[in-house]
Parts: sequence; C-alpha cells; structure tokens
Amino acid sequence: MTDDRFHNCIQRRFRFVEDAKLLRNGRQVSMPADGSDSQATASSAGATFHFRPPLGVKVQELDSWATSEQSDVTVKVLAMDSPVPEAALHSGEAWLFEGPKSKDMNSEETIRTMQMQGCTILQHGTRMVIFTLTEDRIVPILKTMLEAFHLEREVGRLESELAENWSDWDEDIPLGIVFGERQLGTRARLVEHHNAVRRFRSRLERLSPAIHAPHVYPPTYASQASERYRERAQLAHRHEVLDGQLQSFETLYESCAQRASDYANARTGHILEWVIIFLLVIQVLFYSFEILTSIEESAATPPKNIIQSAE
Amino acid sequence: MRYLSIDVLRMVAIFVMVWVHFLENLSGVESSITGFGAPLFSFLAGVSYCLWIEQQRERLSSEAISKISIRRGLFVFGVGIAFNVLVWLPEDTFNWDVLTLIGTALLILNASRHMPDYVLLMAAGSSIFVAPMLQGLADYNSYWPENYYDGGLTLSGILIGYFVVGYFPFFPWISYALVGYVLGRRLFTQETALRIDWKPVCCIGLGLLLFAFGLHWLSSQLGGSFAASAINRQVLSGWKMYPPSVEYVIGTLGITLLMFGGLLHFIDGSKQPERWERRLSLTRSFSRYSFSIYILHHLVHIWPLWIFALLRGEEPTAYWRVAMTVPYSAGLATLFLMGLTLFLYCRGDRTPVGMERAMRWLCD
Repeated sequence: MTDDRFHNCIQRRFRFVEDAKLLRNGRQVSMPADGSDSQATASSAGATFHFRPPLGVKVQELDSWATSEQSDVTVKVLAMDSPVPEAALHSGEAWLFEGPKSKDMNSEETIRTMQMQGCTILQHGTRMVIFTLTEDRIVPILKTMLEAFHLEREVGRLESELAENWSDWDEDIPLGIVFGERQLGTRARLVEHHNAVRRFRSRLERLSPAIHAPHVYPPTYASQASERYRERAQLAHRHEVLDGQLQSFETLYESCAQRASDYANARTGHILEWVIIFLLVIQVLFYSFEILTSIEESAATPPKNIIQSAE
Repeated sequence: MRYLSIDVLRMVAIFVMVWVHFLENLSGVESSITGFGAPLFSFLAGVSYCLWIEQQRERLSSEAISKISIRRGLFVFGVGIAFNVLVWLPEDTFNWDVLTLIGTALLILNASRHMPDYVLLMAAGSSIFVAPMLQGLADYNSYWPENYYDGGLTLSGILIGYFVVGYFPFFPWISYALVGYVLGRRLFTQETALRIDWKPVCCIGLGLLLFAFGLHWLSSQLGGSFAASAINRQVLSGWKMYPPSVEYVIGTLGITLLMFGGLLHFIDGSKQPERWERRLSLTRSFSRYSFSIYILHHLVHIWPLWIFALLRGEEPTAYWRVAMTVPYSAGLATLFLMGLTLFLYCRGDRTPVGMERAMRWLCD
C-alpha cells in the first residue's frame, strides 16, 4: 500500500556546515531573530537554518538534483490531515529503511516515531519524515528537528570516536605515573592524545546547552517536538555518560602532561650534571695515571744508593 | 628473538679473526683486514647484551638480571685470564686480550643499563678522545718494544696495561660496546616496537667514516710546527690499531655501523625473511659458538707451536710468527674454517656445547 503524495514529495537534502560563511547566489544568508525564514519554504531548495550558539553549525540545503554532493540528513515534509493515512505511514517507513546506515545514528530495526498535536515524525538513520497538519508549521518544526538530529548525530560521533580511541588512550595509563628517558620517544603521541581529549571535551561542552536546555514555557509546537526527540534519543543521559568517561582520560592526560613536563625540565639539568661528572672523572683519571706512571717509573729505576753500593 | 644480521656480522668477525690470527701468529704477517674483527666483536657484545636484557625483562626481575650479568661478566673475564695463562703462557697473563675486554664490558653495561642514551654516548666519546692523552702519559711505546705488548707484573703496570696500553685496553675499546648497547636499545626494544630503522644507522656510520677520513686528512695538513707534530704524535696518529688511534676507532665504528645497517635492511628488513633464514642458517651456528671458536682456534694454531718448540728443546715461543710462510698459514686457516663449517653444519640446531653452555650452566 503506497501513498502517491508521499512518493511525489521532494526529498530535501541538508548538510551541516561548521563555522563557515554560507553563501547563496553570492550573498551571505542570515536568519532573522525569530527563527523564521521568509526565503525558506517547504518546497524551495537552498534554505538555510542557523542553530542557536554555541553549536556553531549552519544547515545548508542542497539542490535536489545535485546528487553528487553528500548530504547529512534527508527529509520529506508533508502537510497532511491527522491521523496520517496508513498508506502514507507505510510509504514513509519503507522510504526510511531504504536510507543508508549510519554508525552515529540509530540504525536499529525499529523506527523512532513521535506524535503530538496532529504532527507525526518518523526517524531512522539519516532520514526523517515529518507529517504536519498545516503548511505554516513546516519551517519551525523542520528547524527544530534538524537541530535535534544534529545533536544526536554529534553525540553518536563522540561515542564512536571515544570507543575507537579507548584502547589507544588506555596504553598511556603507565605514563601517568612513570615518565623517564625510555618514555621520551612517546612524547609526540602523548601530545596528540592530550590534544584529542581536549578537543573532545570542547565538542562535548558545545552540545551541552542545547542538550540540557530546560522546557520552553509557554511550550510551542516546535519546542515540544524537540524536547520529545531529545528524550527519545536519551541525549541527556548519553551526554552525562560521555562526560564521566572523558573525565578519567582528562585526569590521566593532565597527569601525563605534568610528568612529561617535569622530566623534560629536569633532563636539561641532568645533562649538564653528567657533563660535569664526566669532566671530573677525566680529571681524576689523568691524576691517577700521573701517579701510576710515576710509581711505574720509580719501580723501573732503582734508587741511587743501591747503584752506588753495587759499583 | 635472533636477528640474522647480528649472526652474519658475528660470523664475518670470526672469519676475519681466524684469518688474521693464523697469518700473524704463524707467519708474522699483518693482513689488510687486520683490525676489523675486534671492533665487530666488541660492538656486537653491546647489541647482544641489550637483546638479552629485552628477552629476560619479562620473566626476570631487575636484580636477577644484574646478578646474571655480573656472573657472566666475571666468567668471561676469568676465562680471559685463564686463557692468557694457558694459551699465551703465564708471562702474558695480563696482556688484556679481547675476552677481558668483553667481560669488563658486560660489567660496565650492567651497571649503566638504566642510564640514558646520551650518558652512554658521552662516555663512549670521552673514552675515544681521552685515550690518546692517557697513552701519552703512560708512554705507550715503552710497553711495545718489538711490536707486541710486554707489560710489567707490578700492580701499576697491570693497571696501566688494563686501562691504556694492553692489547685491548679499556680506553678506548669500551666505546664499541657502549655504542652497540645504545643502538640495540634504539632499534630493538619494546619502546621502539621492534621497528627496524636502518637508514639512521647507515647515515651515522657513513658520517663517522667520513669524519675519520677528515681527521686523517687534517693530520696530514698540519705542517711541521711543534704543536702540529705533538698532535700528530699524540692524538691524530693515523690509522693504527696499536695503539688504537682516534681515526681508527671512529673509522671502524663507522664501518661497523654501515655494515650493520645494510644487513638490517637487506636481511632482517627483507620482505621475505624466510628466504634468508634458509640461506644463512649456518651463520646462526657460528654466532652461537663464537666464544668457543675464539678459544678453539687459538688452541689449534698456538699450542702446536709451543709443543713443537719444547720437543726440540727450545724456548716455547721460538717459532711464534716465524713458523711458516703465508701460503701455508693461509691454507691452515682455510682448512680450519672449512672443518668448523662442516662441524657446525652437522651439529645443526642442537644445544650448544662448549664455553657457551658452561657459561649458562654456571651463571644463569
């Protein structure tokens, strides 16, 4: 059972752009303070959304014909009466499952479904389907859902990266307590890991205000959808877990940095001390040899009185 | 883990040593390869000690490693003294041959194995440049009246011989073992993840060789002034093994590193190491028996000289260096090496017998 309206609905492809000036037709596009975008309609391509700071991300809509450009999320938005017809739902679910898998997003078999005030939102992997009651709700709900999607995606990426780096970072544990000459060669790796952990923390903290944002009062249609999505994706819990996991590595690398720095500072002094030791040893060596050779010479040459008595 | 490059290098050193000793002791001739065997042995002593420590670190404590190292060092030193008495006769007990040097090197390396690389390299460099001055202080030539070492039996004479004027004195020969140990640590330890990086080894070797040639050229350009002649006499005395000049030590160190780096690249760093394993399996046997071969080859060509002279009622050393002409001594050396090769081929990978086994039994 399929729904023709759903099939004819254009796929809107979006890409998240970080800290970049977004240009369209040679002009920088900016977002009015109330979040509305008179230039972005449900059917027009090239819409731009700015997320609230400090996320530092802008969403750029890609042209639907430019299939070579990689998108981060694909959305189909339709205005449809509530309840949404079964055919449309089935078409939506089928379309969601066709999408590419992403290790950073939920790619389990189940589709995440949210329903509120006549709006139905389906999400799976990097695809989303939004059924709203009226056309005027499309833009606000699209923006908040894209932001919530971005948050989940970022948290997923952080979780994946942490899992990938965990065993590497674990290998640095001994360096938190012992750092000597033999470990000097690992400094570059330590610096790299330390910087990676710091960047990780920075990225995690950047998401924090949006993930832990309190409920908006009075609630709006879009804010409720965002809150519901964040709850379903368990973003607050996942963020807290990442925070705790990262803390242990931050402590480790602070300790490693301290040890490496202390050793490096002491090493210069050690080298000078060894140079002085060597000079002293050489001096003692020369002095000892002078004594030894003088003993040897006197042993080789008998005293004068013995020579005279022999004569 | 055994590295074929080390085995090959040690086998080369054995061949050089046997050839040089047969020609020198039987015919009194110095061949062109004289002076290349001992640096290889000393250098490889340092590398092998480092590898041995790496192998033992996981199953033995640091204290146990030290005890075994001290026992082994004293064993080699003691065998060196006994060897001098039994092979070179009691008059040459304290001639400070290569075994006493290697025994000392083991003791020194054990004491300094926790020290940073730069300390060991500074020690090596200091020993090379201090040696000529100590030789001058000790009047080196007075201990070498007829181109062989004739040390005294007084305590001061023994000590001077041990440190400066003997056949293989502490200064500067300890530098080879120290450099070998540092290189082993850089190339073969867990921290370097067994990364075989041959290029720096070859570059340093080439640099040292060029430096030695540079010093040699410099000494020829110094002119006839008092200072220049003093430098030429004491410090830059040319390519000489007795006494070991600065150019000789640095140059042979460079050649050793070049050979080692090249073998690391072509053999241990090869994409098909098993091919080299099959072809060079005999080198492993030579390397495992190097201690025994050193003693055996002396017994084989020195004792007959003494015995023959005694039977004829002469001084035991009467035929030393004058026993035969070069073709005969060269032929005997070749025969010995062929017999040795055959023995080792038949012996295969069985547990070594001889000095190596005695050392393990007593010291480990």
